[in-house]
Amino acid sequence: MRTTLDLLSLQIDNHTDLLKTASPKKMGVSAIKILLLLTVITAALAYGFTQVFMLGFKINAELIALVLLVVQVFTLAFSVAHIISTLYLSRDNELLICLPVTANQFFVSKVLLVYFKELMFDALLCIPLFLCLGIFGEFGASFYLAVPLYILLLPIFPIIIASFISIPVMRVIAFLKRHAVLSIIVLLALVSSALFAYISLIANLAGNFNIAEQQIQLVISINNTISDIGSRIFVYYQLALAMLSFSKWFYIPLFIALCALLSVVTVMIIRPFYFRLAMPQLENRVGSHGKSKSQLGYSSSFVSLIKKELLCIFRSPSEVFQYFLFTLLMPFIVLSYDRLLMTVSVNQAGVNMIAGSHAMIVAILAMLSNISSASAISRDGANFHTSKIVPVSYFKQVFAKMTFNAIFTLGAVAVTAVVSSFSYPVWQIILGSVAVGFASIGHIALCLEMDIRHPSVSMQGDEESSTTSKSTPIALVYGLVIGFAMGLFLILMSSVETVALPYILLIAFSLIFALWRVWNLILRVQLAYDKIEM
Amino acid sequence: MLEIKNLTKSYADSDVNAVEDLSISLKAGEIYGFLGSNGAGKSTTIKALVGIHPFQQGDILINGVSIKTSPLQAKKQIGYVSDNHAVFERLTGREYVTHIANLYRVPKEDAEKRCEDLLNIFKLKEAFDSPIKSYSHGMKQKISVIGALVHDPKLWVLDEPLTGLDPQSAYQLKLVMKRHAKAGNTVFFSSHILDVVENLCDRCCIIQKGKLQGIYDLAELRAEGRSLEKIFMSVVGEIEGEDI
Repeated sequence: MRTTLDLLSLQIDNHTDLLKTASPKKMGVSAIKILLLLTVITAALAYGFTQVFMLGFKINAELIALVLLVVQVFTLAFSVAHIISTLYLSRDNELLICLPVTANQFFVSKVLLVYFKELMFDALLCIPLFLCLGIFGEFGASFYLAVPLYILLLPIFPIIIASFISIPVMRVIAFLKRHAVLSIIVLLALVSSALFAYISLIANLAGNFNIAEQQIQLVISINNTISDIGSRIFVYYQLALAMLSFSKWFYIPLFIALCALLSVVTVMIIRPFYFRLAMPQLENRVGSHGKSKSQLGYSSSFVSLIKKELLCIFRSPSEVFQYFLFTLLMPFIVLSYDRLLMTVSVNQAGVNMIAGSHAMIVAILAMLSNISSASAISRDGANFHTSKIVPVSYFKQVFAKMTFNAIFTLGAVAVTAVVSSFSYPVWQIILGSVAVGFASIGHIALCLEMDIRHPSVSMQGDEESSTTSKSTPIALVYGLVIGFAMGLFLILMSSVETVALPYILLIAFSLIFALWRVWNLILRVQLAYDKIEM
Repeated sequence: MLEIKNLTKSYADSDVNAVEDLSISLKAGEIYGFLGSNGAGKSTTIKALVGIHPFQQGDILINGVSIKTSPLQAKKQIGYVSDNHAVFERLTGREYVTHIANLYRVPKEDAEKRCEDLLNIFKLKEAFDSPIKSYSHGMKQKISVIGALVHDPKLWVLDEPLTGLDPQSAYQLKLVMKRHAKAGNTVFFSSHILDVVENLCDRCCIIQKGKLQGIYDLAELRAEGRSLEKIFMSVVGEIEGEDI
């Protein structure tokens, strides 16, 4: 047991700073940060609850049972991800398996690490949630005493279910890892499905926006549905009843016994699968693709640099998702935002303001899709040395990275413009898009300049290198400020009689910003590149 | 072919010079070994030479072209294999070599001919279309060498090239180094393996704490019956040349 716990603490050390020896001051700062986070979440929830429960929703055992179930569903989703990342794909597997420990100790320590992660997640979710429910429901001591106990118990069921789900998921991942193009298609299909569901929901909401007349009926109907579902989910309903009265606490030891039994059975079933699925991830397999001639494609150095960026990013589904999330989402988010706004009746100035807020959303999303440029250099990792040894000017190399990002951002802005042209005058959309385009170019140049000046170039290869850099959060803030400022400018100028004037001014400002940032990049790239030593 | 003149390099976070007043000259067609203990300044010199590190004083001329004032012209003549064999691991071997060939603007036919030849020597043909991330340490080193030679550089620089290679791969690499020098090019490499330097190189130099300690002609040493190992140990101050 001691060895298992040592292994667990080693892994927790590797994943978090919690168990590391720290000064009391540092620990105090961490504690204050956690308390602050919990306070903010609690306050936000309390505000939300005030709005919702004012409408007449009941806080009863059925609602608590439903809340417990929702928490379990969330935990289940995270458990699947944590089991896959901690048990099967963890990079420390190779190191830990070499230690003088038994397979059982190794496996149990991994399971306990997953439990630890879920415990942290559940604590962060449940403490504010149940605190607010307790206050609004005016519950007694049994409620507050049950909460810490439930936080300890709640991760167990989702982990058990996730353990079984993760086996077929791992097989799918292993298959997709061998077929990168297919994995991107699957990822895009999943994102598209989620977006389709989201758009349908927004369309429904927009259609029934005038909810006030049906409010009472709606609340009664929701209360009835909660009572119906809550009383049917037996295990959680009994746990909810125990939270409301000590007389029902006998369910808790029964629940603990059930969890313990299922845990033991699950560990026994999963263990053989674990070693079968995890160990091949540590193996190197070099395949032959049957081509024998060493034919090489030819393109200019600039095109080759763009191709390299494209291949390196599109071979990693997680990076595709990370870097092109906002690019992919932009037309959909703008479309649904437009549909919501169009339901609001306003005068001419209001119409202009709506157009301004539309431009703000487009600009913010465009800037967010530029953030990947803030790690474009850092992402190369140890391969960055190639940039310095090849006979290609630094500016051309940086310009290729800039072009790569701009193609996607400007493409998304263009698609969004087409989508938006059904809701707004075409001239407004064209002028707004041109302004956003120029601002995007300026922002990309700014992001690249920040990364060149403060790169996180590690000695690891691109497979291991960080996908973010020190500049990423700053680039994010700049992006939000630029997007917000552009929208605010149009909103403030909405009362101007010449409707096109604010757009023309915005194009001029954006163009000046783009030229300024690109010029700065040209001036600084040589010196900044020279300073990067690795 | 390569002339390092009074090279002095220090890092921003250090008061000590990593390399101090280093001057060496390499001729066309020779293999030159660069020796020194850990932290002696070998990698710093090599990185300054290939354009990775800027330097404060001195100059480095490749075929008469200064890396300081005409970096692009100088870099065209250099092929570099780094000590960590970092290559873009998400690319296949073919994509990597194509990318490098394009960056050096090598005509397609020339690049293909050289690539075919090196793939045969290194027996890497079967894995050429596999992602580099699936390669072993030795295979990564080999693809890195192919990338470095695809433009047939006048000066080939290698940082610790034999570390971690199996005997067969080490043999293949030494063979390619000899061939490259025989074709009138210069090979400059750092190493800790004194036997390899003794057998492979025409000349070598030893640096210690960033300063040049001596330049040695290996043929002369052999003729005089002197051992490079003894010289190295006495230079770094380990022992007074005792036989093992």
